[in-house]
Amino acid sequence: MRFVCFQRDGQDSVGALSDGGVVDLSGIATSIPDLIARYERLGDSLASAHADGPVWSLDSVELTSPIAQAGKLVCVMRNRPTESDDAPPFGYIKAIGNGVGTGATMRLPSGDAAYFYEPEIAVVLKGPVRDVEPERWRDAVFGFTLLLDVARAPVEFPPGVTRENWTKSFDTACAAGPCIVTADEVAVPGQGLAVEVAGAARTVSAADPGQPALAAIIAFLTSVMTFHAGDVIALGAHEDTLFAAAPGDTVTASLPDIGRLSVRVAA
Amino acid sequence: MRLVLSECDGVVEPGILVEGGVVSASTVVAPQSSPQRTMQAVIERFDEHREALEKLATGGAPVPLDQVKLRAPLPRPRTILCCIGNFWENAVRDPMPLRMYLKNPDSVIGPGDTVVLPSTRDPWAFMHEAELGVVLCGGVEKVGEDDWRSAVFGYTCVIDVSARGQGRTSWGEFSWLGKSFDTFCPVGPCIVTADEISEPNDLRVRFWDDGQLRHDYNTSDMEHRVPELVSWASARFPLQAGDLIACGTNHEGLGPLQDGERVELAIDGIGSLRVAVDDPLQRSWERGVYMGADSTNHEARRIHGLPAGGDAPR
Repeated sequence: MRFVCFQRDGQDSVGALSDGGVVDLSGIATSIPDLIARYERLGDSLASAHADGPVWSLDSVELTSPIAQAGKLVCVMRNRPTESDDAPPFGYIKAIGNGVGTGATMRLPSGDAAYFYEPEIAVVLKGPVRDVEPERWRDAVFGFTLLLDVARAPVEFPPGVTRENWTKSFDTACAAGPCIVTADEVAVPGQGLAVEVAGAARTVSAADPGQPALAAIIAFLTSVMTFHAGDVIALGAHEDTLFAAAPGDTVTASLPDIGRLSVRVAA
Repeated sequence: MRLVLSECDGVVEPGILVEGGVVSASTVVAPQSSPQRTMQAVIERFDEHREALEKLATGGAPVPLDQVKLRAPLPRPRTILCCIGNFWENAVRDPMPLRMYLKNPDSVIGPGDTVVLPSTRDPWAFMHEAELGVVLCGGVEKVGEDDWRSAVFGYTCVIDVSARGQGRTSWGEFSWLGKSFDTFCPVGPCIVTADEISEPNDLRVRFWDDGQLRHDYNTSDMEHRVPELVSWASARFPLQAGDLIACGTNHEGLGPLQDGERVELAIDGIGSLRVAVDDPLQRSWERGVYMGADSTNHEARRIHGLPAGGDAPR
């Protein structure tokens, strides 16, 4: 199934994508984390709601970030050229805050700093999960979505400091969507992840040549902290898919199994 | 006013800490869907309910502390911001820009709880960092330094437990992941409302490990002071009521946490936060203040033939 968050008439709700648009599931779940926490127990009530619930056309709703209510987001630091391949997949906590969904606008902070897009696949977890064995990583995963992270070029960092992860947590920094696809509908997570940037003077695109080992990431991060239902791990971006950000761009990340996440970029 | 969350017979409710114990405030602010939401509701509606809460504080019947369990007053903030290298360390050094990292919001524990060291041998040690916590009001966005008080609801004690990679370098270096293990963020014992602390940059902070004094510093040693922290954070992060800024620590008193220890953080005007330490692997480290070559402890610097101060934390 493909779950979404949407806004209609000023009301935030949870829904599922269908051929007719968005099936309203607000009668059985108040948020995505709530849905995931009770998913196994919902059973017939979810099936009934999906079959009989009100359906809104896609052009009558605004899809919002499906991870905006997540308890936490951990982003894997994939681009660490100084680290050996044996180094653990360290990640940092990123503010979810006022993240945006597909079709919305990401506003870059004012100032002279340069930013780069980082298109990523994100794993949405069941919970609580802790100390997951690598071979059992699928037991911990509810589904997948797309995430567009941004990175600031390290021009103003103190000497010896090569990363400042707080720069990735500005308001609207976390774009995600368009939906969360349940794990059973994703054969090989991340295969085919592509990004396209279209602006006034350019169009560039690339595909991620390979995704990091999901089993190792989930095993490592769950050895550090407990993840709760709806928590998110973003798997990081390959250097081939990093493009400089510019106001006026439209950035689209896409994955055949998930769909397209498209945001406008403004200053 | 000292606000707490207390648990009795399985129910977590808001309360006011007074001399005889805890006065329940649930008749004014009812428990919400979660303990964090409960304290957020207190913060968001404080002005509206101040008079009623003050009446409870002076006339309510307190339940003795040995009959309730104090929980962390902010069990799960949406955002915990922690300052990096924010103290002069009582030395003359070059100024450094203000930097912060985000700490796992699920790592919070409360008074009387236990820091559990992870069963991983990769970090070489786990250390305490005693810090002043600034509790934010709601609707905080781009607050100017001259208006910082409008964004601050109150103050609390925070222990920023930290896994070390090498020396006092944070494990996982620029990820700061070593600060985010489960149970690595004791908070409490209460939130003191801002009207009771006129100058957050003049508070004595002391930390004891099994009775041995480790941290002993004044928040006047902060390089970037509370008004700037509030202004800087509100300009860069989406913040809400009950979010927390930990102001950083003076690292001169850093030391390892070890199995079986009981630690106490006391901040003037706030109170004492006490937690225990458990290590499933029962490791041991040299007891006392960390005296490595990268320590900012003045005696350690002297022993290693180094000038006072230190390098930017990593």
